[in-house]
Amino acid sequence: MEPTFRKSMAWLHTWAGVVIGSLLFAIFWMGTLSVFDREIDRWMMPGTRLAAPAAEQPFKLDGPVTEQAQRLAQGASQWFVRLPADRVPAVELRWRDEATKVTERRHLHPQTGAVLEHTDTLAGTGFIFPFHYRLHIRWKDVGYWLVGVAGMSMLLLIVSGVVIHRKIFADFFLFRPKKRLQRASLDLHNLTGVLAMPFHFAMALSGIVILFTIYWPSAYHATYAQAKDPRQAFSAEGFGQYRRPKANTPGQPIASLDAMLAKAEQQWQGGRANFVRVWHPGDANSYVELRRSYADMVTMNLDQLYFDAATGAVLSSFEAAPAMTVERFVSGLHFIQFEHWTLRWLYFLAGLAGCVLIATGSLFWLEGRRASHAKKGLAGVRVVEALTVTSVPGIIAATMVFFAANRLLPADAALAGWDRSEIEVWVFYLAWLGTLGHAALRGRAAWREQVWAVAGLALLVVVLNWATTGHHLVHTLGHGLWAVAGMDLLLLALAGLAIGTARHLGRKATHLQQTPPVPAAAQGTLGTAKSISRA
Amino acid sequence: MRPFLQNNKENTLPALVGRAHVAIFFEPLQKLKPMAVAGWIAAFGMPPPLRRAAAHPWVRVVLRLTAALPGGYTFTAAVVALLAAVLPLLSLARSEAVVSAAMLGFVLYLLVLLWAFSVRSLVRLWAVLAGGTALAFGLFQLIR
Repeated sequence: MEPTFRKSMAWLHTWAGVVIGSLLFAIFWMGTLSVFDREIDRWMMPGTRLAAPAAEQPFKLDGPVTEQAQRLAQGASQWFVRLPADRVPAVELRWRDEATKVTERRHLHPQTGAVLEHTDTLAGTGFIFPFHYRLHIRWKDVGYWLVGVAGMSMLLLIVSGVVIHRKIFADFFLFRPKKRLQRASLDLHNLTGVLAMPFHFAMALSGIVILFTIYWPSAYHATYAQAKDPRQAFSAEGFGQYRRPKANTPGQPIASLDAMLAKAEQQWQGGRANFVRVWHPGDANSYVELRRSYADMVTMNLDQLYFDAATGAVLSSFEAAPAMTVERFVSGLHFIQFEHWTLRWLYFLAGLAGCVLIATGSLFWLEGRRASHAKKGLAGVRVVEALTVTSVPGIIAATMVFFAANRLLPADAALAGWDRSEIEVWVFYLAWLGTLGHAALRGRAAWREQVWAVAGLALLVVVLNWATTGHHLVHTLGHGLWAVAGMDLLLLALAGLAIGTARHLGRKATHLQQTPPVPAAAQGTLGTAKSISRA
Repeated sequence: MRPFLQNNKENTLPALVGRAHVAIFFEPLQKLKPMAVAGWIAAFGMPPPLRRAAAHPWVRVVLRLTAALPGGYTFTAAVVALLAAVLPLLSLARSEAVVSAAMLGFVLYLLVLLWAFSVRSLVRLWAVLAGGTALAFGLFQLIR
């Protein structure tokens, strides 16, 4: 394409970065938050803020919990529970209400089975996490495809970034914050890119590997061409699936679920189940599905056991085959469902590094072209700047507004047919749109203003948690409510970082008014900056 | 391409894009007799109107993007299908073949993209991808 491989990679890196940068930041931001999605759930659903279960009291599924589940899920075609764990101390119960066709979720107290105070919210696992992998666009899987394109672009960006970085070892720890913004951005971009490079590459690749059935349909169409539904046929053989139709006659009361759990633990040589689903409750052909927990392994195993509900006899079992296990291991590297707090925090910090990487990349492009586009009367910088401000401080501010709405909306809020959880989502999108409008109107000053807004909103959210639940930091730290304390502390850290950044940007603005910008070509170690600035 | 999509009544995005791809590119090209056109260009060179169009930089960018992104995907999908059909013949379980082929597909697509954005000649880019796709599908049809 260009005369040398390095110049082609520079062209690719610049264009891929400019085109996909905004979307990539959104995915990385929501992904980083998703590391602590269950902790965000505890914060957004105050009723579920239970201290970690006492070690002496073993959890029993039979008794109050199952009775409550059967009572709430009356008439449903299936109900399932996730057993309490380190990160989710309550029992999570879900069932599909046949009348309203809505999947309901409630949290139960693990000992008494009592329904915990319910907040109608999608929270971390229902809004932030799905945004990360599907952008909440379901139509024709377009959301999945956009995320896939972004993931593939990320891989291209990393490879091309390494190729064009001339002094990659000499520059290893180089960061000169006092230099002009373009130089400081590039230093930080290289720093966060190189230090966490294995993480960024592994996350991008593992992320798209998770959705391999969507991105490579030609694979199962080729192998299962004879089947009536190739995708279903592959799913059944690859992911395991046992189905037994309803008998439509009333059945016996359900056998001991704890006995089934014990049998599963025996079958899995000490591995425990964390997911119990009852199919066709109350029917003669009712059966119980148990799935093995991922808490003690990276691989998201597909170990399943099916029991007859009335007798407790084993009907079927499944385990992933070797190649599928490799895929589930790679997926597990991305999903991080294992219990390991040090690693989880490292993932979070590396994810933040990724966010900084993407943001500084856009900032570097903007600063490099500001003077030339202004001189030529091109709209490029103005448009990209508005989009970048919306995508970086904008989405962070919108997330803060989402948390604030969670604390402020009354429990029975409803508007124009939308329930409380939907209103929260609307508030997020409207706030985000607002940042776009603000960025379009305010131009370069929008950076500073929106970063200040992030700082203010983060502090407001912490205060709102205290005001609406009474759980301030001293209380949460004293009573072992680590999830809530962690969230409040990180919000305070975000506010601090935002204040520091806003002041730094403010200083840079006054400084730049006094000194003229240096053309990109004059900067030595930028190497191929000349070909980059041509784009 | 056509036998693969003919019985496919799926409503998913790749199926729709695939059918559109066939309708827009494949059917008209069949009428143009691609082998005859390629032979003419090899013997007499590019016709002047095409050569003038190719001089515009944005045309070259569009041709490269079309070759790399959907073109590279089609090539990789064809190789993945071929792999997924061949592996069971080497006594690998069917579901295992699908997963293995799909995982390799990601790596292959990445390499194809890196090559597509660095190879100097657009003609070579299109020839390798189109030819490779045809070869992969041809072999795939032979095996079925």
